[in-house]
Order: sequence, then C-alpha cells, then structure tokens
Amino acid sequence: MALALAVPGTAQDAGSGEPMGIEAVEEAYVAGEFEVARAGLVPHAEDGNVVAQYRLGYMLANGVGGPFDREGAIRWLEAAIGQGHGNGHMLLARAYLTGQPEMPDYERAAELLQVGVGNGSAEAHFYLGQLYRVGRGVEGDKERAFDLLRKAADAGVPEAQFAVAQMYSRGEGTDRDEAQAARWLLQAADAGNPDAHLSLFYNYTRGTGFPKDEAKALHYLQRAADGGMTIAERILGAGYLTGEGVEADPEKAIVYLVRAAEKGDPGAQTNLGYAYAKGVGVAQNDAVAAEWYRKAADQGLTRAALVLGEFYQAGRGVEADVAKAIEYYTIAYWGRSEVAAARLGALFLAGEIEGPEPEAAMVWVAEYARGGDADALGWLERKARLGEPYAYLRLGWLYRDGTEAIEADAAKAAEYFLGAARRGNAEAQAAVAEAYATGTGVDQDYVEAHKWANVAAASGDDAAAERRDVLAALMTPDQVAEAQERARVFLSSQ
Amino acid sequence: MRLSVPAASIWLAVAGFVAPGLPALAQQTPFAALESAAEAGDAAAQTALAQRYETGDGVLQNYARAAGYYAAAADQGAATAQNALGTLYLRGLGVPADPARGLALLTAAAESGVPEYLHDLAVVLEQGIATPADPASAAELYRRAADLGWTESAVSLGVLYQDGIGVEKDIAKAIALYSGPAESGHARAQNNLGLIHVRGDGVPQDYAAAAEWFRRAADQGLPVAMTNLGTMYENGFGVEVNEDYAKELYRLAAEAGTAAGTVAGQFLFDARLQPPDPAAAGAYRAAAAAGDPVAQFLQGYLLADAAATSRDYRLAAGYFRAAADRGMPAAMANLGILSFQGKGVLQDYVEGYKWLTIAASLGLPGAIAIRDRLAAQMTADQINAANEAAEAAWAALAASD
Repeated sequence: MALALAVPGTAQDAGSGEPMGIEAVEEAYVAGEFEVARAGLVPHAEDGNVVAQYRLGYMLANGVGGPFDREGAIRWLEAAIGQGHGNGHMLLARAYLTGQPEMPDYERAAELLQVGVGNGSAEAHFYLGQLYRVGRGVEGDKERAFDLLRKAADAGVPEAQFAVAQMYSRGEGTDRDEAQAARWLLQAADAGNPDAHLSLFYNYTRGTGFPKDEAKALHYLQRAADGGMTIAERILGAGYLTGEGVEADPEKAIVYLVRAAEKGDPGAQTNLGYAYAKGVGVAQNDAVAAEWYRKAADQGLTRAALVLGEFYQAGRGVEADVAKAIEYYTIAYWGRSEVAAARLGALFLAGEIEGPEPEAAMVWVAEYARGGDADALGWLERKARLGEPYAYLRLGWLYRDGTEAIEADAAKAAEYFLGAARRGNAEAQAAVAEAYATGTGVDQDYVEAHKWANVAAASGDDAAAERRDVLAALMTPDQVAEAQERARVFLSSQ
Repeated sequence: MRLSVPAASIWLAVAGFVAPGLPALAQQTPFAALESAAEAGDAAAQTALAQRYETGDGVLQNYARAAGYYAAAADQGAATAQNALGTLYLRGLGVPADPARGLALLTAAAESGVPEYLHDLAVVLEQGIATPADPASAAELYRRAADLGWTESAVSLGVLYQDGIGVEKDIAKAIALYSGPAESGHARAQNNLGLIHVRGDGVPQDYAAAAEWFRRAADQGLPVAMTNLGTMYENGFGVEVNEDYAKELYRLAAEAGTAAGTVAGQFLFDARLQPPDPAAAGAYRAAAAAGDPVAQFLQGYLLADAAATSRDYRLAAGYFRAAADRGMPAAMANLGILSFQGKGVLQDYVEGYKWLTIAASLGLPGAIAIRDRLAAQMTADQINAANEAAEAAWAALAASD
C-alpha cells in the first residue's frame, strides 16, 4: 500500500536507483497507480521502447497520472509513430490542435488526421473537416470539408452534426437545404451538443427555420445553459430575473447569472449588480452590487458604467467620489448613453469638470437641456452669442428635434445651424443645405442649398456631395454658377 | 502670348518613375509664322490663329483672343471667321453676348453658300435665339444645305416635316430624309425613325423595329434615345420586359452630360510614365513629401483610383495640386476633373476648366475633349472667367519657375 501513496517524485527517486521493470510498470497501471506508472514509463521510453513511448504519450496527452503535458505528449507520440506504432495519430493530432499557449501546428495535425481518416476514425473526419472548412493546415475546401463532416455526422459525432446543420443552412460546400439543416440541428441537439441547443433556442424564438414556439425555445435555452454555454446562462438568468419568457424565479436567476458572470460575461455581471442593488433573489447589498457593476463597466459596458457612475455620485455602496463618477459617466457617454451625457452636462455646469473638449461639453449640456433644464439651455444660448460654433450646432439640433421642454422650431433651428455653418462646421453646413433644399425654417432656395452642400462636401461629407449633385439636376446652369461662386467666396473668406 | 513647353521640365528628369526615351512634347505648326502673317493682315493666318486660341491646343485657350483674330479676318470677308465669330457673339464667349450682331455675322457667313454655315444660320432661326423663331426660313436653309449633301440639315429638315413646323406636315418626306442618314449611323435620325415606328405615323406601327432604332441611337450615347429605349423595356414594347435594364437606361440618360456621367471616375494618366504600382505607395509618399512632382502625381493617381481600397479624394486632390503647381499636365487635368466633380475639393467649374485648359495648352492628350464635354454644364460667364483665371495661373506658374 505504500506504493499506492507514492507521488511521482518518490517513484522517480526509486527509479534513480534501479528503474522499474516494464512488468512492474504495467502492474502499477492496471492497479490504477497512474502516477507511479507515468514516472516508471519514462526510462523505458527513453530507451526506445515503442510501446512505452506510446503509453507515456497517451498518459501525458490525456492527463492521466498527472496534468496534461502538450510538449511531452507530442515528443513521445511522435517518437512512437516514428518507430511505426500504428496508434496515436488522433491523440497526437489533438495535442497539436490544443495549442495554448503555443501556436497550434495545423499542418502536422492535418497530416496525422489524414491517417486517422484512412483508418475510418469518425473523430478524424470531424477535425480534418473543420480544418478544410476554415483553411488551416490545408488549403480551404468547403466541398471537401462538407464531405468529411457529413461522414463524421453520420457516424454520430455531435459537433459534426452541428457543423453539417450550419453548412446546409448557409449553402456552404453543399446546396442550401433548410430541411436537412433542421434535421441535423435536431440530431445534434439530441446528441447533447450545446451549440445546437443555443441555435434551436434562437430558431424557435425568432421562427427561423422552425415555427415560433416559446415552450420549445425555453426548453433548448435551458439545455444550452445547463451545458455551460455562457450566453445561454446569461439569457436564462436574465429571463428568470425579469420574468420575460419564463416564470420569474429570482433564486434560479442568481444561480445562472453567477455562472456566466464568473466567466466574465459583462451582461450577466450587470444583471447581477442589478439583483444586488434591488435585493432580488439575494439580500440587498449595494457594495456587492457596485463590485459587479464595476466588473462589467471596466469591460466597457455602457449600462453598467452609467449605474456605477450614479453609485459614485450618490456614494452608494462605495465612497462618494465625483471624479470616479465622471470617469464612469464618460465611459457610458462614449457608449452613446444620453443619460450619461446629461449627467456630465449637469456636473460640467456645476463646475465639477475642468477643461473638457468644447465639442463634448456642448453635447453634454445640450443633453442636459434636452431633459428640460432651463439653465442649460440659457448657457448654450449665451455661448452661441459669444460665437461658439458647437453651441450653435447643438441648439440647431435641439430646436429642430424639439423635446418635451423645448418646442421644435424650424426657423430657430435653421438660424442656429447657419450660425455654426458660417463658422465652418461641416455638420451644420450639411444641415443648412437640407433646410434650404426642403424649405424647412427658411424659404426654399436651391442656390443656397447647393452652396452649403458643396462646402460641406469639400470637407469630405459624401452624403452632402450626393445632395449637391441631385440639386444640380434641378437647377439651371446660371443657378449652379451662382451657387459655385458663393461657395468659392465663402471658403476664401474662411 | 505664346506658351512654350514649360521650363519646369525638371519633372521629366526625376529619376526612377520615368520611362526611358521620352518623345518630345508634340510640336505644333510654327506659331510665330502664323502670328507674323496674321499681323501682316493674312485672313487665313488670322483665322487659323483664332482657331488655335479657340481650341487651346498647344496654346492657352482664350476666347477673347480668338474673337480678336476672327474679327480681323471677318472684316476681310472670310466666311469661316464670320461664322465662328457670330457663334461667339451668340454665346457671349470672349465677347459680350450680342445676339443681333451674332445673327448678322452668321448671315454674312451663310452668303458664302457653304452648307455648314447655312445650317448654323438655320438653327439660330429655327430656335429663335436672336429673333422670334422663323421655322419657314430655317426649313429653306436646311433644304439648301441638305441638297448640298449636309446630312445634319437633312435630319433637321426631317424633324420639321415630322412635326409640321415651318412646312406642311409630311411624314413620308420626313422618313425619306431620315432613312439615308439613319442607315449610315446618324443617331438623331435613328431615334426619330424609332418614334415614327412607335406612333405608326405613315408606317405600320412596329415596336420591334422602333426598339431596334432606339437601340442603335442609344448605343451612340444619345440621351433621349436611352430614355425612349428605357420606355420600351419598362413596358415590354417590342422587347421582353426588363425593368432593371429600363432603370439603368434612365440612369445613364440622366447622367449623360453631367460631370458624373461624362468622366465616370476616370482620370487621365501620363502615357510616358510607368503605370503606378500600389506596392510602391510608400516610396511615392516619401518622394512626394520631398517635392517630386512625378511621385506626387502617381500617389494622387493611386488614391483617386476608383478600384483602390484606400481611395481618398481629398488626399488625391492634395497630391495633384502639389504636382500641378510644379507644372505637371496630367496632375493639372485630374485636379480639374476633381473640381468639376466636387470630389475631395469644392465643386467649382471655373477652377476645373482652368486646370484642364492649362493641361491642354501643354499638349496633354485627352484634356481638350474632357474639358469641352464638361463645359456643356457651364455658363459663358464661367468659361470667360476660367479663361482669365488660366492666364493668371499660368503667369504665376511661369514666375515660379
């Protein structure tokens, strides 16, 4: 029994005195003493014993009696195959394909897989098919790929069945065939392939290739989530949290969200943050909520960054910190959050943000004004009177679109756009062209429309160039000449 | 003023990009000889000199100078000069527009009996450009010119018979007048024959024949024929219905005569250079930054190429401008084309015409044809302004040498 407790180190020590005989190694293996067997095989493999080389390679490749050892597996399996050992090609190919962190060696893997295909291995058909499909280690060949994958699928490899379903659905390497695609997708799902489960969830939800069926969709989502698909865990978790598509079950929600969140999924992290912030399915805890939001926000997720900014501003779950609030609001602003922009606008007007880019500051204050803040609107109007082009531009959009607080006013919008256009802002120049072309807020005037579209086009606005050319077709040569003259004069005065 | 080959021929000597054995720029008939003969009062020399200024081939195009030499010859009774000067007065090119004077000059030229001049006068009378329209007199003039073998006049007379304007409506005469020119490839005659077959006017209605005539005319680029052929395809008249092709024909017809349709993204290349090599873009950029105009041109050409993935008209225009400022004709022409199209630069026909004019004066093949096609969209004032701008730009270029 002392041997059963032996760790590889002690076996090695024993071997330094006198190597275990091959029979003793075999006995250890049969007895399930894999650490001992793994160590005992080394000297025999080094002596060139082809069976020992194969067995050692097998143990290293499969992580038997010690951790998976890619380099060791490759070394000993290559040695065994080099001596003519008939097995091990698939093992070795797999070792080459699982190349982290080293680069996988696709070419050697393809060579070995070819042997496996010759031996009729379904797995070899699958791997080689995938290599032909993506063109790695071999020249890409979709027809060849389909042929190999179809054989593997017929032999019951679930991943191959899923791949074949995809290829039928896309017409990749074979004719498009929705019926075949559906058949193979169901087969792969029955064989337990999580990718197929997720696909079926999408298909039954959207009614693509299958009739819409919420119950079936949920069934497959559940299977995909239980099969460890992160996206499925997140979707199912969010569903249990909100009761969308499934009966709300906060406790179950937390189980799935934690699984996905711990694998780094930012959506799940955000939902988990929400659960802790509201106390849904867990005890309410702002500090934990903030931590989950932070994990998602640091990955750039807009929603999480906005909430975390609010937590920092309010001192919720974290110590109040305006600088941090601004930092996270800014992340959300780059993700086009209008709420974050409005918050930044308020902070900027309160003097909390120093020296921002004028263009960004104007957008923030404009969003704040859009929400109905009269001071923000007044501030923009003051800036416009001081000649700030971006203030004109923002006011133009505010008055053009209108909000609950600001009545849309096409004439005012055109006037503000014109202010920015005259100051060289290309976005406003295109907007002015649009106003003149359609007679919105100004009298319709093709010459002015052509002039401003031409000026905007000269700074690279292709849509403005198209508008200009469409206008020209409606104008006389004299009008076009006049418009070009005005554009020339405008640009030379800039 | 007479232009020489640019002293800025440094760009021809830049190493690397230039094919060996460059032929000299095309030599023109001695200009000085024409000038001295013109000064001495030779009407033929005056007319020839005026034509050179009018087209701008090897000399800076200048309608005002052309008008001056034409006037000297016209005063001596030279019909060619009278006709050309009359046209300039009607259009206001190089001279203030003066329709009455233009008509008088065209009338004087027509008295020579040359069919072409009879025809030009007839057009002015038919369209009422200088006076109220006088289609009867126009018809008479067309008939005289047609009898002298002038095809254009025969077709125009056919139109008057077809519509019964200035003459009694007579489809049979119209068909007789169109047939010969149509068979020998006259686009307008082909289109009009097509219309007659659509309407079944004096002939049995025959959509298939009509479509065939429209097609022959459209193939020659006549926009109205493209539109007519489009109608046939849209409705399946005499052809299989094909709405996509109909739309394509309508689009082509609309684009014909515009900057977009005329040049369609094709830029001029200098035939003496090796074709640009996209792989050498780095080398071009470096040499361009060092001020080599050939490299600037090649880099601009690569960036403007419609097929290029890195197409960037603004950058291309910048490179063309740099090379143009150093006297490279093909760069001038392409900057001109970009200015007409308003791609990467402000759309400005005056600027575009100016650069194509200078490029043409330096003998760049193709520049005149492109300039004159694009000029169809311009007013006379714009062309006159472009002539002046070209003079000023040339003076500045010459001064910088």
